Amino acid sequence: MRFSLLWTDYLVFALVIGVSLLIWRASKKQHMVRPWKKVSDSTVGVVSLTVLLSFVFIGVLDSTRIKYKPNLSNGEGGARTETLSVLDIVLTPIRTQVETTYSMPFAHTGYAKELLKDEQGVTQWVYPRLKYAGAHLASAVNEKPQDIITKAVEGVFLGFMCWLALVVLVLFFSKARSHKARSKAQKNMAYTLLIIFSLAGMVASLGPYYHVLGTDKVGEDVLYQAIKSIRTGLVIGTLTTLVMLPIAIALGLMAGFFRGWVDDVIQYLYTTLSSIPGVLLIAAAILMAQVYMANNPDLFTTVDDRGDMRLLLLCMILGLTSWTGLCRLLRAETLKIREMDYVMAARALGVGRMQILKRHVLPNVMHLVMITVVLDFSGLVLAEAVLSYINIGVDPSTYSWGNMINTSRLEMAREPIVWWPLAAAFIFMFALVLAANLFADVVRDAFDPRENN
Amino acid sequence: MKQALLSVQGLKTEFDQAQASVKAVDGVSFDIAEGETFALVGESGCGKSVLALTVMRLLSNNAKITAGKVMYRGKDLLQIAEKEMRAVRGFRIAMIFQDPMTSLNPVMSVGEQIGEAVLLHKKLPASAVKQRVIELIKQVGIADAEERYASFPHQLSGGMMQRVMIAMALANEPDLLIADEPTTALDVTIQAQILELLKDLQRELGMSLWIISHDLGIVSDIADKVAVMYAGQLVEVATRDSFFNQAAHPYSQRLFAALPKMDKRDKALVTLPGSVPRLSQTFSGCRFAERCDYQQAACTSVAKVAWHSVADEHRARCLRLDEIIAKPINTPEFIKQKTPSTSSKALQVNNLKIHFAIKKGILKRTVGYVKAVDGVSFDLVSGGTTALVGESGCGKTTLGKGLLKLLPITSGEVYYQEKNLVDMPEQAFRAYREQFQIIFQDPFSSMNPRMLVIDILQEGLRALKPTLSNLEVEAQCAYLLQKVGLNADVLYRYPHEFSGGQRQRICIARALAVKPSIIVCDEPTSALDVSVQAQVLNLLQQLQQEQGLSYLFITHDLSVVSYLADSVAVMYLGRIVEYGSVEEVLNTPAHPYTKALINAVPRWDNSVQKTIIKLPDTMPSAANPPSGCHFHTRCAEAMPVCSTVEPKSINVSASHSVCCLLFDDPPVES
Repeated sequence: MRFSLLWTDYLVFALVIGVSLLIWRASKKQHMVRPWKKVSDSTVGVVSLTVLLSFVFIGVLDSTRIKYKPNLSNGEGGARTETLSVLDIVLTPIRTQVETTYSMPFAHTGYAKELLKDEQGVTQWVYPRLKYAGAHLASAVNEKPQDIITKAVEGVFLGFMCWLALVVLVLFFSKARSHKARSKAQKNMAYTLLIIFSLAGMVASLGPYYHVLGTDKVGEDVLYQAIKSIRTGLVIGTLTTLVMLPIAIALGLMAGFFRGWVDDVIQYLYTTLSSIPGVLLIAAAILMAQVYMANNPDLFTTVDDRGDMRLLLLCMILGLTSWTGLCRLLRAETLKIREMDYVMAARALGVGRMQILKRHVLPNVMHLVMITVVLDFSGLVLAEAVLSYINIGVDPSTYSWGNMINTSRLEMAREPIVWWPLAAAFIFMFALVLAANLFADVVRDAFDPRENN
Repeated sequence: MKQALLSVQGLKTEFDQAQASVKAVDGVSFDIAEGETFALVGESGCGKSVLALTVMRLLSNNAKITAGKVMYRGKDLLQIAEKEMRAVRGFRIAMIFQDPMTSLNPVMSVGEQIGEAVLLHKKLPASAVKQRVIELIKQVGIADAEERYASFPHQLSGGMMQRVMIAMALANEPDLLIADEPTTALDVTIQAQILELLKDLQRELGMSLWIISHDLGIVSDIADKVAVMYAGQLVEVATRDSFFNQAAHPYSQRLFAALPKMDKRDKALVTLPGSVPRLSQTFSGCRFAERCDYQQAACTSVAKVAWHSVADEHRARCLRLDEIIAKPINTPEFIKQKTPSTSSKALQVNNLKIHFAIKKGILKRTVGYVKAVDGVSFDLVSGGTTALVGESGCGKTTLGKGLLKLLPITSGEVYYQEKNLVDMPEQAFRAYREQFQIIFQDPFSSMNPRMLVIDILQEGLRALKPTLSNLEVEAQCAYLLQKVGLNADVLYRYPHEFSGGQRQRICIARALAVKPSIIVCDEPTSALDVSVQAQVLNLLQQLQQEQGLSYLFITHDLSVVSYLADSVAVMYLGRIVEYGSVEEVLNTPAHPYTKALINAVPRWDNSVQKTIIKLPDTMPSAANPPSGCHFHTRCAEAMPVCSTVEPKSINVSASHSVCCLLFDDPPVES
């Protein structure tokens, strides 16, 4: 058993480590802690951050890939290796219990009637029983409601116990034992976690026995797909910004600060680039990549490799097309700041231009950068859905909300309609984007120095 | 005594804030009689604007009026319905604000905006409205009323915009006009005319005027009755004459003492210790006690200080009035003993020009120049202060920044220690950077809001003296703070945590960090209150004494000039029109423009008779200056020749020169 990471996995880990390092460094500086203290004082801020962190946690679990030899009970497949993420292992019963085709959430029968022979050999036009969901019940129709409620309550209880254990553990190691000493932020986070744990407990308890969000066309659990899509959403949202930021910041500051021909060239560049329809560029790049992958099959041996490379490419091309907005914003702000008295004072003190950019201009545009990053994050998660919908997004083999929505295009046109894959993608995307937007708002308020009084 | 038109009784206004409620107005009572001018004086944050807004019922939602009455013609304005109030507001009681630029709608023509005010309370046919508007425009002294009717606000100068605001307020011939700092945003020459206009209109229309100001000069010029406000309360109410003869309350006395004046040149200005108390606290006794020289235990032990009468219609809220009047304050902290040697020049400026190209079209061709500084020559006396005086837009700030090479210089010479700094490439000039520093006007934009005070102070040292060790730099910072009178514990705080005066001290410390010999002070006190201004001026004086600094003091405030400067340069549209020692220029001004400037300053000593020299509102643009003498378009003594011949600098005395054809010898024949 060993780790087998893909390109985006490395980047995700690099990002997580990088952000942790930044937080660690900032936490030592009194004046950097202050705005974050404000974030932590806000209920909305803490709740949305907790939700976001839960998503990130799932994303990191999904990025930790392990290569191992499956122990099949019948002794076959000894030579075969399989790569699974930690998340896959956690979700094992849900992942492996694949039905034959569509089934509604919490159903114990299929969604469409089939011709079946019963024990007497009589062919009947009936809803077939599912292979896994509700299979433990003898008389599904009568026992199911009772069983679901029992299992849900059990799950909530399980979640509560886990939460309690965590809280006790934290309290054991922290100094703040009395109720008063605990900050509002800690309490808010604890209550949010309680809800998340309860939901997770419920899913854990119901998951092995029912398809909580139904199954799709090939019988795969929709909840599993939606959870697996979290990683794709996070990667698109974060790596794209990572590609975009250096370009936007460098060019925006240079254009605004140096003016003259530098400004002319940069303005020309982003005006031209933003006049080309972004979708065209993305489509061209993705199609070229597909051709390249088809011509070099030995470079991309597994389906995962191909999907991953395409995801990475999508991030890059999205990043390269989306820096213009932020660049324009930063240029305008820099134009304003370079005329401020404190920049004049720094010049009078003989401070070099690079130092002025670094010390006076950059910190004063960082709030714009931070707001753009968080707002873009939600925008990009949504953009992925749109791009996948028109088939130039991530690889069809990659789990993503966009792909789920794309498939449900046909499902919605079907009679009777299959609504749950779309609903699942919607709920997950909504939770992530809403949390990100709320968090962005709180962060912006906290970092505005004029509102600190 | 005339009948009271507006009577405010025991008014209290509070603002709800997160921690505590701020009692901005706390039990204020006063009367304004018909046809009277009532002036409310106080420093920023004392609640004077809130008081006016309370009377107009224009307060924001988090404010609430907790007690009191506002009686207007027998009605309590606080009790009537909003609909009824609308019939009073703007109709019977009108208000004008400080900044006319933000009070006018930029996309509506001036005539339409005034017409709107006319129509609000009266239904009139369109032609009658226009006629009335033109009448109003004429009434507020704007020439070419018919043409101005169709003008948009951006086409008008600041003075004209304030006139338009006044016209709007007068549209319905109100009984009471409230003017909240009506001239603070205007130049001194325009200010004089606006005050004149208000006086004339008041006489003409017989309305009452309530003027809110921080400037005692304006108050003395216009008021019948004066009230001084401090920390949400009135502390002194008096008739104008009684107040300016003998201010009774220690706070009022301090305000007078803090004013810079020519005859205080050798002394430090009197300052107020401490700062304005927080209005969210609960007061006991006198609110001024902790900053007062006469403070006694009784001052804070009584629950409330009652009014004590000083003279007829003159009362003050102070327990020890009698003693205070008998013994006025006199606390000079240091005696100035400087005699700047006029022979040694810190800086010599010859024919300096700073032109900005106006570029147009796709190819960005240069179609003209804004001649912000156009051939300026003067010397900066070593160890002394040279004041640069002029109205806004005359190029004085550009000149200051140009001397530090913060702006590109078009031509000319600046000699420092025999070296011409203009030709010097930026790399070579860096060695001289530490000699020249600048202090800005706005203490809020002159410090990076994201930097700690320690980083702000260190910046120059790190850039210019990279060899210093951390320990030395920190020691230097602590020393600087002590020098400007701040505690060392401010080092790890952000600029926004300080008041305006403290910020200006930090800016001074930043400039001092690199041990400069010349400091350009660009209106360093114009954003500050009088008492804070006194502190900053004292500090600048003291530093000059100790370190032999030379100042180029850019200002529009002639009282500061008379107190601080050794020599004065008067600037008009990019050129210096008069230059000389401070006594010569201020006491025997030669140039008509200087005379107009000096006469426009409001004064309260009635001994000097003065006539305001009316300058037209509009200053010509530096992009298209008038031919000949730049000033001839506004000059009362202009001759035909002025529009063709450029005046040269003529020496009136050894140290006094003027650029005016009136002094040409022999006089130029026209």
